[in-house]
Amino acid sequence: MKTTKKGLLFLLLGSFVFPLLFMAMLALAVSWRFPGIMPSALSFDTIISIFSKGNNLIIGLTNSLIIATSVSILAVPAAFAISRQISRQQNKHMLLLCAYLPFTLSPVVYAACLNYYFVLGGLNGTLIGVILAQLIIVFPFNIILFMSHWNKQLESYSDLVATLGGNKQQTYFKVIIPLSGKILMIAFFQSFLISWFEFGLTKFIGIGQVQTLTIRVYQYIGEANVQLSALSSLILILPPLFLLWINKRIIYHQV
Amino acid sequence: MLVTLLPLLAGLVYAILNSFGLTGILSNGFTLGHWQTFFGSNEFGISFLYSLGITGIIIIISVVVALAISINYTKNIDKGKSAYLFYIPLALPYIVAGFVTYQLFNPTGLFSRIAYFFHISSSPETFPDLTNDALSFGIIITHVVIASTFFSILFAGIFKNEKLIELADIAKGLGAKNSQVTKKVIIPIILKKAFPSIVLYGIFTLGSYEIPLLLGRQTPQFISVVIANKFQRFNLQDVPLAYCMAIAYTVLIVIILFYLTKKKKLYHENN
Amino acid sequence: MKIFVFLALIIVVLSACKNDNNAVSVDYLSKPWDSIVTSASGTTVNLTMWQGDPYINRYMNEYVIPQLKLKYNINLKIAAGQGNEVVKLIMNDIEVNKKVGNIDLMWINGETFFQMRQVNGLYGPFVNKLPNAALVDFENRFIGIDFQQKTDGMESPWGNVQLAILYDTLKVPNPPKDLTSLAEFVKTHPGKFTIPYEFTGLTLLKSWLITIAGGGDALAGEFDEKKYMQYSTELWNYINSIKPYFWKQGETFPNSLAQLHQMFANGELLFSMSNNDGEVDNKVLQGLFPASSRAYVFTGGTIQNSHYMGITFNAPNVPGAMVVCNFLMSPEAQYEKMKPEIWGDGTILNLAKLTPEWQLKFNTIPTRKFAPKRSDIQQYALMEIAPEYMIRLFDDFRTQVIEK
Repeated sequence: MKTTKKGLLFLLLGSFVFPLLFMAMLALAVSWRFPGIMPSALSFDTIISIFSKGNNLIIGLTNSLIIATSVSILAVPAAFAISRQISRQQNKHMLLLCAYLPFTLSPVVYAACLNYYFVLGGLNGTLIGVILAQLIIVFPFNIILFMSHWNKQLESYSDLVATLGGNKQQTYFKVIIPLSGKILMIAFFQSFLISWFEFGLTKFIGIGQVQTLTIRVYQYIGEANVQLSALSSLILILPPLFLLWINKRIIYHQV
Repeated sequence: MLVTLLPLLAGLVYAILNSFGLTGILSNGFTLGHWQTFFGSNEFGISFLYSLGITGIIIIISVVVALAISINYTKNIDKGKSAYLFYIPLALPYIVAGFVTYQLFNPTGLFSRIAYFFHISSSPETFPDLTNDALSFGIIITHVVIASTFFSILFAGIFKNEKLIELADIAKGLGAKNSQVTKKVIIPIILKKAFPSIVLYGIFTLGSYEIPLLLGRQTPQFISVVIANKFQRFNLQDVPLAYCMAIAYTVLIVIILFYLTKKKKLYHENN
Repeated sequence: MKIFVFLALIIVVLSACKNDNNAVSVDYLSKPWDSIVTSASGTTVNLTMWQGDPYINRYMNEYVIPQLKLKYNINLKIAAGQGNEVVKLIMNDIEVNKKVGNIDLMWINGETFFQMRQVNGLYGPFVNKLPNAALVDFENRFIGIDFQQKTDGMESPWGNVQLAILYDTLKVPNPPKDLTSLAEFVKTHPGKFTIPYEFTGLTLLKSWLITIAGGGDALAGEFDEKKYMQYSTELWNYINSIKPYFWKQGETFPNSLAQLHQMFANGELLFSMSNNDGEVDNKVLQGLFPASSRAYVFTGGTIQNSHYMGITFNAPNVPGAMVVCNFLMSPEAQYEKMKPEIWGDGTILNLAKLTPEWQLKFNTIPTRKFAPKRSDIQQYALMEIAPEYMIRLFDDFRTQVIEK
C-alpha cells in the first residue's frame, strides 16, 4: 500500500518535471523527426541566436518585468483597501458579482471591445496603456482573492484597536497589514504571474509595439520552428518557476 | 467598483452600438441585420454548449483528481522537496502547455515515437488520434493537468487551514470509518470552501482561447476561438457579428453566475 | 479607490492631450525627393509586419535596419502584427479621428490592401515619388495589379512570390501535377494530404477555382456571383469526393501553416505548401525539412502575387516611411533579399532597367537548390482574383466542406 502510494506520487511528480526536460530537449535538438526517439544531434545555435543582434528578447524581458511589477504594485494595495470596504457593505454579494464580471469575457474578446477607448485615450501601443489594460483583469482578481480574507476575527481586532483609541492608520499598519502578510504575498505573486502570462489584452492594446516575453513566445510558436518555440517557452517559464519557489518558501515559513 | 465595472460597461456599450450598426466606420446606420444573422445561425449555440460541456468535464475530472491527490498527499504538497514540484504546472502559461501537449501527443509526437519504437504502432496513422481530435482529448488533458494541480494545492491549503485532520480524528473517535470521514466530512468541507475558486476557474476555462486553438478542431470550436476568428476575418462585415456573440456570451455568463450566487455564496468568511 | 480612479483618469486625460492631433500637415507629395530624404534623417519609422519567419526577421534586423541607419540615419522599429490586425487598428483610428497614428508603415498583401482601400486607411499615392519606382516592373501585371485592383501608387511593391507545393522526393518520386492525378494520389495514400484553413490554404483554393473555371483569366475582373456559384460548387464537389482520404478523414483541417509544415517534416503528411516558392530552401537550410524536399506547382497553375509596403493615412512620419519604401525597392536591398540563404523572395524590379552590373549580379545570383527555377514556373502563374472570391471561399469552405 505504502509503496504504491509512493510510486504514484513519484509518477505524478515525474509528470510535472517531464515537460520541462522535454522542452529543453526540443530546444537543443536539430532535425528531430519521426520516428527518432532521441534527437540525432544537439546544437546550441538556437540559444546563441536568441541573444544575437536585433533579437528583442532582452527588451521583451524588461517590458514584462516593468509591466508585471507595476500592475501588481498598483492592483494589490488598491484591491486590499477596497475589498475591505466591500466586505462591510450590505450588498456585498452584488458587488462581488461585479468583480467576477470582467472574467466572463476572454481577454482577447474583452480587448477587442475596449480597444476603441484606448485609441481614444491615445493609450494603445504604450506601456501605460498595457498596464492599465491588465489592471482591468488583475484588480478584480485581487478583490475576489481578498474577500475571503476579511472575517469577523480581523474586524473585531480592528474594532478593538479603535475602541482603545487607535486611529485608522494605526489600525491599518499595526493590526490589519501584519495579520494579512501571507495573503498579501500571495496576491502580489498571483498578480505578477497573471500579468506575466497575459496575452490577449497586451496584444490588442500593445499593438505589437509593446513587446512582452509572452508575445514573443506566441510569435515563435506561430512560426514552424519547434526549437525556438521550446527555448523561448523555457525562458518564459523560468522566472515564474523561480517566483513560485520563493513564494512557496515565504508562505510556508510563515505558517 | 467603478474600476472593474466602468471598462466592462464601456466595452459592452461599444459592442452593443457596433452590433446595431451605430458605430464602426463601415456601418450604414441602425440595423437589426447582424442580430438577425446571429439568431438565424446556430453557430454560437453549438459552440457555447460545446465549450460548456468540455469545461464541465474538465472541472469534474480535475476536482476528483485533486481531491484524491490532496487527501492522499497533503503532506507532500505542503512540505519537502516534492512540494516545489507541485507548482511546476502552475508556471506553464496556456500557450506553452498547449505546445507541449501537441509535441507529446500528436501522431508523430514523442509518445507516438515511443509506441513505434516498441512496435505498438506501425506508423503515425495507427497511433490514436489525441490532438485536434473529435473527443477533444488534447484540450481536456492539458486543462486537467493544470487545473488538478491548482485544485490540489488549493484543497491541501483548506485541509490545513480548516484543521481537517483534527476534525477527522474527532470523527474517528466517535466511531466513523476512514471512508466515511472522507465522504461525509472532508470532501463536503473542501468543496464548500473551494466553491468560489472552482467557479472562477470554470469561467476561466470556458473562455480559454490558446489551448483549444492549438489542440481543437474547426468544428465545434471553443467560443473564444469563434469570436476571435470573427474579429480577424478577411470579411470586415463580420465584425459586428463578433460583437453580437461577445454580448450574448457575457449575458449568458452573467446569468450562470447569478444563478450560482443565488444558490451559494461566492466566498466564505474564515470564521 | 478614489485616488486610484483619479490617477487613471489623469493618465487618460494627459495622454489624450499629448495625442491631440498637432499634426503638421506638410504636403510631402509635392516636395522634391531631396528634401524628403533630409526631413527623414534622424527620425524613427514604425513598421508593423508579420514576423513569422526567422529568415525574414533576420534580413530585416541584420540588413535593413543597419543599412537604413547607415545610409539615411533612420531608426527603423519593427512591431509584430498581421495585416488584418493593423486594419482593425486603423479602423479604430479613423473612428476616433486620430490624426497622428502609431504606425508609419505596414507590410501588406492583396486582401489587406483591399481592406485598407475599403476604409481609406492608406496614404498616397506616393509611389511615383520614390526614385527607385522607376526600376520597378509595373508593366508586369503580377506587380502592378493587386487582387484585380490597380495599385494606383498607394502601395510600393516589395517582393513577388508564387504558391508552391512542397514534397519529399524520397517519399513521393512523382508528385501529382493536376487535380485528376491528385485525386488518385490522395485516394491511394489516405491521410497524407490536407489543406490548411488559413491564408496559404485559401491561395490554393483560389488557384483550384481558377483552374476549374478554365484557367488563365477565366475569373479576371470584378467578382461574378454566377461564375462563383458555378465553379465553387464544382470545387466543393471535387474536394468532398476525396475528403474522406484527407488527413483525419477530412473531419478537421490544420489551423496554421506552422502545423502543416511540422506534420510534413515528420512525415505525417506527404505535402506542405507555401505562398513563397523559395521557402523550401530556407526550411531545408534551417534543418526543418529533410534535404530531399522540393517544391513544384500544379500544371493548372498556382497564384502568383506580390507583397507591398503601405503608408498609413495617419502616419506620424511620412518622409521616413517613404525613404524606407524606396530603400526596400533598391537593387541592393532586393538583391540581398533574393538570395536563397537570406530569404529567397522574388524581385519586383525590371532587370532590363538596371545597370549592367546589377543585371549581371541578379542573373548570377546563387540559385535556389530545392525550389524550382522561377522561369520554369512562370508559365503556370495565375493572377489573384477579386478579394470577394477569397471572402466567399473562406466562409464556404467551412459550410460546404468542413461541416459537411
